[in-house]
Amino acid sequence: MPDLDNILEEKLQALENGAPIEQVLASLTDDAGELAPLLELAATMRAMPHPEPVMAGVPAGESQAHTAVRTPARPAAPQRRYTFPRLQLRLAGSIAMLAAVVMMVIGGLWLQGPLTARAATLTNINGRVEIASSAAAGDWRAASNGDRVREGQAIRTLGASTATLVYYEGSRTTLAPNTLVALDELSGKWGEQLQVRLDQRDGRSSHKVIPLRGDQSFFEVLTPTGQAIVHGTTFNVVTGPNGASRFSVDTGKVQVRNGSSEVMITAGQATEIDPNGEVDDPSYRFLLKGELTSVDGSAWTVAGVTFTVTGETVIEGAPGLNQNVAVEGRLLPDGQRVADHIAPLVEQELVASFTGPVDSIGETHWVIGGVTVLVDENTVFSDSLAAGDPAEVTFTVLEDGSWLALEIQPLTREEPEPEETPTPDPNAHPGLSFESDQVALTACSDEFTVSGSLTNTAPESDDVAANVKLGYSILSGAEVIDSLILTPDQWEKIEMGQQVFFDIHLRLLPDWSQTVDQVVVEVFVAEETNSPGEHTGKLTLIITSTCQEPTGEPTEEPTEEPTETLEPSATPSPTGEVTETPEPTEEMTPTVEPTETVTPEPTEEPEETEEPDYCVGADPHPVGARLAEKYGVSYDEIMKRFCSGYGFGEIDHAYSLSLESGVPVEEIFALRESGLGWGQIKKLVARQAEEARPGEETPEPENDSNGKGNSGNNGNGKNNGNNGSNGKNNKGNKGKGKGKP
Amino acid sequence: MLNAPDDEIIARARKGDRTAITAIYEQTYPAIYRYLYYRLDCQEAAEDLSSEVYVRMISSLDTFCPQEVPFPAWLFQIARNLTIDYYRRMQHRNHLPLEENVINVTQDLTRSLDGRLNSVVLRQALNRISENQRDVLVLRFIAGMPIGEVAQMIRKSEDAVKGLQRRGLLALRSLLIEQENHHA
Repeated sequence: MPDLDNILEEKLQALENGAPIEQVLASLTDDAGELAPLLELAATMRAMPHPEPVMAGVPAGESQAHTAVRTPARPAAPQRRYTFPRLQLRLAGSIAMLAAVVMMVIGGLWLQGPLTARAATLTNINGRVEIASSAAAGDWRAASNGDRVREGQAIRTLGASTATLVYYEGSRTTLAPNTLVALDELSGKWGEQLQVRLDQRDGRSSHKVIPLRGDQSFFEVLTPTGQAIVHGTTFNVVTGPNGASRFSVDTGKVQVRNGSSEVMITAGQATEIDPNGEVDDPSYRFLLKGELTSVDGSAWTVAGVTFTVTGETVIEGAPGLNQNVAVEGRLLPDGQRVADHIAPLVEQELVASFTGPVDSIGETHWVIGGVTVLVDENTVFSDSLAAGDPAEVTFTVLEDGSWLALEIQPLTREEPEPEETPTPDPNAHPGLSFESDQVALTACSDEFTVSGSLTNTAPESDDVAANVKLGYSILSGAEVIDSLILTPDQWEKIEMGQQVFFDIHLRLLPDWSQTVDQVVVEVFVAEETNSPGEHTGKLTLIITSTCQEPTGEPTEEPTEEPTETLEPSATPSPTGEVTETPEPTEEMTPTVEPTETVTPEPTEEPEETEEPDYCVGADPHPVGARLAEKYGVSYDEIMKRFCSGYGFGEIDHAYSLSLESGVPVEEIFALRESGLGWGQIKKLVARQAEEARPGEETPEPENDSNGKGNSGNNGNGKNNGNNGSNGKNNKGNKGKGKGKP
Repeated sequence: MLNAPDDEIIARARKGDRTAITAIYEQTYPAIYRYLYYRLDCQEAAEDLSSEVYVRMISSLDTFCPQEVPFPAWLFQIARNLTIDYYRRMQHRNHLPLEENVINVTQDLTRSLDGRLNSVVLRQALNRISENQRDVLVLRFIAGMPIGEVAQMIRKSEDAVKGLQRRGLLALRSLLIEQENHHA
């Protein structure tokens, strides 16, 4: 076997030394003949005309070298013209000065700034995102990752769709579903100076602004009633239905103004500009993620915390009792908690938190922002906190209604570290494919959980897929999609031959079938480090309405079997024939229509009931069978988890985590049922695994690992998706080591 | 190919001599621009980064050590670092490359591409091969850099660079033929 690499280099050097291509090709031996076209290509690349910057406007009499530069063959690509005026440096002493002058010299670009500053790149598109030449033009077209958005253009996200705009120096704007922004101004100056003015007409946006440089930088967000001006921070803007605008800050400072009214809000604070243009004083924020347990007029209770819902509160979807929701709001100076935004929550960490200044620090309780929270030996807090410091409290509600702090952290944290770009492994060539490339459902309900799987089909053990992240596109019916969440949607690695499972939680608007006949969603591999862009497979989910016109008589039995039917998907075989997929992997979510009026009584804990058999669907369920085989456990064990409310994706995740860490899977499910998110669980079991390594003392098991009164259901068919914890997490599950001194 | 400034000009530039800096700029700018043109798939970014290279060059001239690395390799290294920073900032998925050896074996690799290759087509194809392959091909055949300097710049052995070179040419040729078939 000839050493083709060396032979090729030897022949290339011969070409470089002036040997004619014919002569070099003729010198190739038969067993190196395959190098001929490569040598031809290399020679062509060297000989062809390449783009040259045109340095016009140079005075005559410049150097020989410069003259040579001015007379290259013109490239095929369109060129920009530069001027290169005579350098008139008066003093070359300072290198910094020279840098500035040379910048001015290079084509007069100094005045116009970097060309890349005049466009932002759209990334992380999920769902359906559109661009128009202007907000008024209405010439919306579908956008895709990598599209460049320029000054004057407008972007909108439709239902369940999100996108991120990346500016040239790395700052970012993330658009939530149903958001419309226009890029009123987008430019920049040399030295990474950014100039952005966004006009947010509707929806929600979050901004991560790299500290602005130079005196010409600005980053502003206009809303119908106000304006946010920032200089390096992370903040959020909500444009409400009645024209009110809300601004909140995660890190840094934001100046919020309307006409002559102006306030400065800092980390943990929020403010509102009402429809009349009045700017509220800054207030602290609260965040709740948990079960909606009571709705009593304007007083709602989530995770044991009651707050007020006003006409300005933005409510996404139609949250009902026992449903998990995320609530963002403000703690007003009079102690009232007002919700600004309520959204459905699927498969997220269930937490309750608020921010405020530390009023007092005691042995058994702290007062923060006028709110008393209990602390105990498991409460984690920073030693640096002192009275007067702004702080964020993560808490749980005890049975008597008091709040127990799980964590108290200062709000004066630094800007978050930039995300590191993962380094690809050059030896890994993973191939990811969806087992079924199409799932077709005919249905009338408005909530679904469908299981899918992804397999690394690469042949070599080195072919590990790393940092895999799923994304989705909405091909049809975006206007009726209330939420679409994939769980899990990312994996650190998928080994050769490994199959991972995920669930697609899809919630449609009520009566969606009156608007569209069909909803089509594509799930794909959005990111993977080792073979980016190579994973082109997709899982297409098609939901076709079978809704009948209402007959007038309501169904008496709320637990009646759903009307949906599963249709096996037709999947082209590798040979091109169309074959029926024998066993559909999808699992329908029978849905009880939401109750029209909600009662304020507290929800009773559900009683233990026998496992219904309708949770299974196909028997045996193909995904359940595969998971049982994968982890060497019984099919019944997997299906028991499934019937208790876990999706196959979660089950796969739990068993995989158990295998990696050595922590019993029962413990992992117990942690999940206590309300912890998968991210927290992963950290916790990693820590447990580390502590349990040989040679080290095994920690005592915690006795109080179970939360209070949760159902832990996460969406496969009985309870509309995800009745998780009611927020009464037991502190012991946090597993955090730093206690009160 | 990069017109390497002579040692005297570089030494003067390191002392802040304006004429020397101008001369370096004039001699090297076209090659740096070409490198960035093929290394990136956005012409505007290539223009911006070309300018940025010289700002970095001026501010770093005092750290340049001619005994360690030839000046052209040092200047290209600045350009290369800027491209890495650029992609890191953008996280521009469309720019991320295919892995190595992307070859459709059914294609006729003996077909001639002469006369049909232009800079736009070449850049499109280069942006579809792996980052290391692209670096090697652009530095070797556009910038005209010797294999030893390429190895030094991308921190790989010469043997590894030779492998990247051959596999890169194979992948590039395959993609060029595929593009041609697509537009035929």
